[in-house]
This record gives sequence, C-alpha cells and structure tokens, in this order.
Amino acid sequence: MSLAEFDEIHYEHSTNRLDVPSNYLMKKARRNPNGLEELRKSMKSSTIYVGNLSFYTSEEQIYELFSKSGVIKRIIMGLDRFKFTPCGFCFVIYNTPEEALNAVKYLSDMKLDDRNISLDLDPGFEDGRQFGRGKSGGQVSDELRFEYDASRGGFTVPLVDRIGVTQSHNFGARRVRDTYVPGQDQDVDVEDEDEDEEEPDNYIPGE
Amino acid sequence: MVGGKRSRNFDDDDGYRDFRPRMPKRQRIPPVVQLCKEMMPDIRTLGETVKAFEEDIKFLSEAIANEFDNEEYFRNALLSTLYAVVLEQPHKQPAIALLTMVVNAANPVAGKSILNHFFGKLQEWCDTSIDEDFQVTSSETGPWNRIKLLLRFLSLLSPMVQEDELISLYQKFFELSVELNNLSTEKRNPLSEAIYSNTLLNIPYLFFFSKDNQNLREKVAELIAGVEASYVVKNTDLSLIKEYNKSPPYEPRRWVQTVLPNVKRVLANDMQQITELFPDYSSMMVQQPGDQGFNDPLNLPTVQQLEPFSGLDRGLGSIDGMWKVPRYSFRVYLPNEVGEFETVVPFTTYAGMLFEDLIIDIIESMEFNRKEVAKQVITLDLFFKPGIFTEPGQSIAQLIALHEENPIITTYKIEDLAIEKILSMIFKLPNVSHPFAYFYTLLVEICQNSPKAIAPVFGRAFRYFFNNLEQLDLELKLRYLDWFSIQMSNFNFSWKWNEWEEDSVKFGKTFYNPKVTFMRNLIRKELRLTSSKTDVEESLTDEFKPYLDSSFVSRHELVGYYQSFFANFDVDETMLKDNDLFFAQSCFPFSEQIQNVVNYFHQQPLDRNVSELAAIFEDIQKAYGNIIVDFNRFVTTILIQALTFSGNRSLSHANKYIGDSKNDVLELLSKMDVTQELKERWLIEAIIRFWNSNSQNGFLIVDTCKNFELVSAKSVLHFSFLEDNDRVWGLVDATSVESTFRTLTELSLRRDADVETFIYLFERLVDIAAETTEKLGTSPDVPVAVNESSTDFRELELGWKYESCLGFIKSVLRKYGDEYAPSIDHLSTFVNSKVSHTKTREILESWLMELKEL
Repeated sequence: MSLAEFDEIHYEHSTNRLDVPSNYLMKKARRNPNGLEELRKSMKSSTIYVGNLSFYTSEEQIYELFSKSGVIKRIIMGLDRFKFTPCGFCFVIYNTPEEALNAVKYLSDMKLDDRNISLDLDPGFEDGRQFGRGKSGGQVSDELRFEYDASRGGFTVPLVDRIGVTQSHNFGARRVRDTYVPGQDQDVDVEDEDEDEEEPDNYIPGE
Repeated sequence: MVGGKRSRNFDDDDGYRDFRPRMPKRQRIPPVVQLCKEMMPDIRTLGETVKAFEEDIKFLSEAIANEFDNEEYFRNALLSTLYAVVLEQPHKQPAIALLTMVVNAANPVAGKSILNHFFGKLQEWCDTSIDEDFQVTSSETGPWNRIKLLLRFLSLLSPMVQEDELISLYQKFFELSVELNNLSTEKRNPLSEAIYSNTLLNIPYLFFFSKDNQNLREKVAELIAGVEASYVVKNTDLSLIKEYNKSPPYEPRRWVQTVLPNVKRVLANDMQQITELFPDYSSMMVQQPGDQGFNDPLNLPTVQQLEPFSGLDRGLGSIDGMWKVPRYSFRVYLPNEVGEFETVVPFTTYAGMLFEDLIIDIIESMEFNRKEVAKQVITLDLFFKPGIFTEPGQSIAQLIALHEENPIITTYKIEDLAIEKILSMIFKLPNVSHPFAYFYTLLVEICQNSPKAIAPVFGRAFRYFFNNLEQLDLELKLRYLDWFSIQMSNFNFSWKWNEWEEDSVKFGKTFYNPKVTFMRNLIRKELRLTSSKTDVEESLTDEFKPYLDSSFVSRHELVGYYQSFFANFDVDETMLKDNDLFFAQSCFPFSEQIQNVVNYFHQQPLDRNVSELAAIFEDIQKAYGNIIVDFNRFVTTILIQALTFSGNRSLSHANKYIGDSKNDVLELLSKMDVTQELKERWLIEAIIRFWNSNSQNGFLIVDTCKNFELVSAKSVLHFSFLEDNDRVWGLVDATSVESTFRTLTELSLRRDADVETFIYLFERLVDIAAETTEKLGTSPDVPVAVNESSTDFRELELGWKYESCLGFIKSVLRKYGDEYAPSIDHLSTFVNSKVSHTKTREILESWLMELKEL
C-alpha cells in the first residue's frame, strides 16, 4: 500500500535524512493495514529500537553510549523469552521524541562491543515486545543466520540442521527451512538482507 | 497479507532465489517526475567529480533551459533543489551559480525566475528574523546565517545582475550593522557583529565571475571604505568563556576583528589572492546580458524591530547563536607542534576564515545526515583552486621532508582543517549546538572512511589536548574524555599508551594531577564501554595495568567503611566481594536476618507488609545491638544495600526494586530520630560503597533514588564534595563530576527550579578553595600557581586541587548562569566573607560580574 508522506519524493534537502523509518520498517508497514499510522506514531515517539547488539552488551554500556544524545528515561533489554537472557536487541526510551530522532540520526551504525549497532524508529514500547520471537526464544534473525557469531550465541541453528544428517544430502538449506517452518507468530524482528533491492513505492503528489 | 510474509522471508534466504525481474509495483510515474528523480541528484552532487563538471553543466543547463517553462512540478523541484544546495552545501554555490548563468544565457526567463526565487527567500528570511513564533528545527542555523548564504549566492550571480542592485543590498546590511552597533557606546551588539562579519565575508564572491569589472571594483572599494569609517569594533574580554584557564597555547582571534583586514588583503594586489583561491570556471562561463534585476526592493527590519532580537540569545538557530558571546576561532593543530609550518590555513587570511565559515555551515545545516557531512567536509578542496592543499592523506613526516626540500610548497592539510573545525564545535563554550553524539560520531565516520589518513590526525589532536590538560577548562576536559573514549571504543581501544608513561611514573600516586586523573578516568570509561575487559587490558602497557582497578575508594578504605558500623566486632575483609551484599556474609552473626531482608524485597509488593521488615530489624537490635554503633545508620544502609544488591543485574532491575520498595524504606526512615540530611547521606554513601567497583552504576542508582525522592539533589552534591584527607572526589572522578552536572542540569530544566542547590554548590566550592589557599599559605597578593618541578607532593596536590576547584566554579557559573545571575550580590558577599586570599577573591568577583554579560 502507499504510505502517503513517507513515499513522497523530497526536494527540500540536498541529501537524504537519516531520521526516517528504515526500509525494513517501511516494508513492514506496507503489509500492515495500520502501517501508515504506526509509521507516523514512530516519528513522534520517544522510543527507539536498537538491534545487532552482542548478547554480552550490558544495559550500562548502552546507557554510556546512548546518553550522549539525550536524557534516557528507560532502557528495556530484549530477552530470550525462555531463558530471560539478553538476546541482542533493546529499546531505549528517551525523555522527548526529539532525543529519540537525534539518537537515530547520530548513533546508527556506531560500534558497541565491536559490532555495528542498528537503530530504528519505534512506535512505542508495549509489554511483551521485550521478548525474542524466534522459535528458540531469541530473535528470528538469529535463526535465519547460518554463520558462526560468537557474540550472538555462536551457531543458533544446530549443526545437524545446518549440514544435514547424512553428508550425501544437500547442504542443509532446505532442511533448515523445513525444520523451522513456523506457525507461531506473525510478526518478526528480522532485518531482511535484501531489503535494499526493492524500490520503495513512489507516491506522486496530486495524482 | 500477513500469511504471505513468512514464506517470502524464507524464499529470500534459502538461496533458491528466483531471478524473475522484480518489477516495481506502482512505478508508472509521469515523465516529469522521472526526470526530476534523475536530474536533481546530479545537481546536488554538482562539482563532486571534477572531470564530469563541464559535461554536467552543459547537459543540466540545456535540460533546465528547455524544461523550465513546461511543468510547474519541474520548476518547483528545481528551485527547491537549488535552494537546498545553496543553503546546506555552500561550497557548491559557485557551481550552482555557474549553472544558473548558463541557463540564463539560454533562457533569460528561467534565469530571472531563479534569481528572484532566491531574492524572495532573502526577503522571507529578513522577515523571519523578527518573527517571535519562528519554529526552529535541529538543522536550523538561524535567519542571519541563511541571509549570509543567500547574499553570497546573489553576489556570485554578479555578471547577470545589475551592479547597483547588488551594491545596494550590501549597503543596506552594512548600514543596519552600524546602526545596531551604535545602540550602545560600550556594550557589544551580537547581531551587529554577525551582520558586519557575514556581509564583509561575502564581498570577494562579487568578483568570482567578475574579476575584471573595474566599475564594480570601484564601487566595492567605496563600500568598504564607508563601513570601515563608521563601524567601531568593541573590545570585550570574558574569561568565563575561555577554553583555557591560564596560559593559552595560542592567541585566540576574534571574528569581528579579523574579518575586515582579511577582506581588504584579499582584494589588494589586483585580487591576486582571489585568483589563487577560487577555481577558474571562465571556460564554461557564457556571456551574460547583465541586465537582470530584482522584482522588488529589499525590506529590512528596522533597528527598533530588531533590538529585542539583537542579543541572538533566543535560540533562533545554531550558528546565529554562536555570536551571542564574542566569537573566536579555535585552534588545535598549531605550527610548532610538528615543524615550523602550518597545516591549517590560518584564520588571519581570507581563505582560512572562509574555510572555517563553510565547514561550520555544512556541519550545522546538514546535521540530519552525518555521513554526507563527513564526505563533504573532507573533500572541500575539490571546490577550490587545485594546489591549495597537499595531496590527501600526506603524513606529517612526508610534509616535513617536502617542506625541507621546498619551503614554498603548500603544507595545508584538508584533513587537519576539517577536523579542527569539527573539534571547534565540540569544544565550544558556553554551550554546544547539538548533542555531543553528533560530533563524536561524525568524527568516527570520517575516520572510518579513511582510517589511515585520519587516525594520525586524531592522534595529534589527542596529544595536543593531553599536553594542555592542565590549562584546559573543566567542561572541555570532560568532552575530551568522552570523545577519546568513544573513538577508542570504535577502533579496538588501540592507543600508544607508552607515550604517556612518564606522567604516570611521576605522578601516578597523586590524587589531583590533571593528567593522571584524565588517564584514570579514560581507562575507566573505556571499561564501561565494552563487555570485554581484555580488549582494554591488552591495549595498555604494564605501567597502566594498575589503572584497570576501577575502585572508587581503596579497598582499605572500603573495609574501614564497613568496620565503622561496629564496635567490639571485626569484619572479615576476605568476604568482602564486588557486587555482593557484604552484610549477608556468614562472617556476620546476623547474616540470616539480612538474607531475610533481601528475601522480603524479592516478594511481590502486594504480598508483603512493612511490619515484617521492622520485625527483622527489631530482632537484630535485640540480639546484636551491642556491637552496632549507630543502629539507625545500620538500618538505613542495610535497606538500600539490600535493594541495590537485589537489583544488581542491571539498572532497570535496580530501578524496579527501588521503585517497588520506596514506600517501605520511607516508612522505616520516618521512624528514625535523625535529621533528613544525615539519612540521605547514609543512603548515598551506602549505594556508592556497594558499587565501589563501578561508581557509574552507583551514581546512576543514586539518580534513581533522587527520582523516587528518597534523596535530594542537594544531598547528592553534598556527598560528592565531602572532604576526606584533602581528597574531594567530586573534583576529579569523572563519574562523580558527571553526576553533579546531570543533577544540576536536571534541576535547571525544571520550571519550578529553586536556586538553593546551585547556591549551595557555589558556596561549598568557594569554601574548598578558601581552605586550600590557607593550607598552601600563598601570600594574598600572589596568584596560586602550581610549580611542576617541585618535589613537595603535598604542595603540588594542594595546587592542583585549588585549580580544579576554581575550574569547577568557572564551569558551573557559566553553565548555570541563569540560575546564578539573580543571586550575584549574595554570592559576592559570601566570597568576600570567606576568601581571605585577595587574588582568588578578585578572580571570583570578576566572574560574578561577567555573569551579567553572559
């Protein structure tokens, strides 16, 4: 669906702004009947989503970095919903929406524990969102990842599923897909790898 | 809609990608939109590729000349784009002007429209400058900065505009600046200085395309002579906003004093310097009829209308706001640091001043995209004459060699220039235009783009500030610390620590030495930014390994703290561990009851009653009251330490436990017959001692208690500035200093803020300073000075303590001037009654007087 002002082509700046919804958020909004409303809400909320954190990054570290762009009201660590351990994302709630936008402008792609963190606007925290939504309890993005990542729990997908039971089979991609065909929840916190490929729709003013 | 999504995610990821071309869904957009989508980015990046520049101008101008009259959508898109580039990327103005004039030659109607679009904007900004309701966004640099840039663009168009039209614009602005300046004979007028400097700085642009216009030269000479005769630059000297507390490493230059000589010099000698500065676009330039004019005359606000705005203190834009206090140029890369040559174009030349102006404009007006800013400021040289700067990425060693071989070859480094100007924004006093995060990450961004060329440039800045730490303003020290630690955490903490070993060897044991304090704070901050202590550890040399111990007070003192609760009972210090509740250890006879206190806090708030808690403490008192010195202090400490311990997993845990139990705590405290101040002091001390290994956590939890009104702001400051054997942690420890500023800033943002806490801090600091001078025994009419070569450590420590204390006073007066200003008389009386050292009294008195001007 068209996302009104978010699809407009802008000419008022000489370069794009960094404090706009990410492509991931836009894509998600397009498939959601309330997407436009959510996007508008996220431009005015004091909350931001922080992703690609190491599992070992502590709230205090996040405070140390994020307090540089505003006064933090609350940090909500994303937790594995079975183990209650950090699973690589968090929400930071600032005092004002401007501070949240500032954080998105200034701190996205910064390094924390040697990882480039990703920031996104967020319509606001609701209870329950602090938990990972993957089958294993963590983030779905980790379950779709096949490489080893020491600071995000190593291999999330068990070895057997990665290479198959017998070596004669193909290299597991299908098996993994079959193993994890889900059915649990509809919404996923996963940054799609190919999100840049799809051109955002263009809303033509006055058409 | 929802069901389809999951399967797509898996399709995308399993490697079986279908290679059907992905047709954009609603991409059938009108040709004019398509044209704009393709053309506008080319305009925005005009000049970035020098090779394509000529072609770009040719094709763009043809297309614009042809399309301009056809579609309104195109006209609007084009005008907005040109306007955006002119304001946000002013270094591209000459390229845009060239494009405009080539269009003008082919299509004079289009030319006139563009010219008058900009003129209309100029008028709009003039009107905005007296608009009380002007809504400022974070990238707003202010009406007068916009006016400057628009006037500059119009000046560039001089070949296509009637000369007199342009000259009269200049005349109007100069007249306005003179009139504003004459409002008072002594007081400087910030707006007048801004208009005067901005307008003068634009003059050379009149000649960008019209060097040979004799007529114009004469008129400009007259204009300059006129303003020189009627504008009096006023002297001012505010020590509160000085970056260095004493002996500055360079003589700061004021904008308003430097601009006229710079402009006069650039125009002298047949404009030799202009030829050397601006690129030569004459081959692409087309003959202009030169008869375009503005649709209307420019209406400037009157002096009376402007007067209420002329302090530039109403927050109408970031760069305009910089004129509020006298504007100086800030330096980092000094010539003598590397060799006998400059690496930054000097501010005392027109080029140097213009570069500073351009870079600051870019940084401030494009704050919404730091990646673009990083790219633009480092490639600024592309928009000027080749040969002004050395090859990008030249090392200092190479430069020294080059310079020896050929002393007239240029030694200016574009990296040094850009980074120095960004640093000048970070180190701006009295305040910063954006949250620090912006500047820090902008610098990180630049370094990531070309680490090899930039890292050494940062290294030199780090060393420069380190070498001048003793003089550097307290707030600037904190900013330096922040920037350094963030930079390190983005680049694996690698730093050549061995360079600084000597300072550590010499003064490592001292409490107040500025350099040692800095290194101590830096390593602790690095530790807080990483979850892998080894990363930091591995970067340090052996000399610095002991700094990894981040204890707030020494272990010995910590044991002393816990021992002080007891009489006839010795605590077992082997059981004292970080992040653990000491009182619950088995070495204490009441450990079980303390565990019950913890268990109580673990229950759901609705399932428990405060009488249970009271009962536990009654038990303890009955059985062990004889060994406990002060039972109230004991209870207070146990309560808050048990809560802190329960919430030791993270700040939000602590927040939750304290929030859930604050009523219980308050109720128990209310039954004690002790002053509120003392209770609060016990609470704070208990928290900080619990988190002795990580005082940042401690102070943040104290903040939590403050938010829940368990402790007052004043108590927090009181604790931080307690004195113990001449040591005041609040003067040196970064976590404590940050806590003080956090507390005060929060107070100052409150509407109902009362100034009592601010006054308290001032008085406390003055007390410390007064006592220190007495201990030092410096004679009253001699300023206190630290003699670095002295071996008397006590004297050295007192000297540094005195300096930190005065530095602190300077910072709080400046930062919270609004809070202090109404009480100047009271503060002054206090200073007079407490400070016997005349020189110190004079300094404090003069700062208080300056508050009126801030």
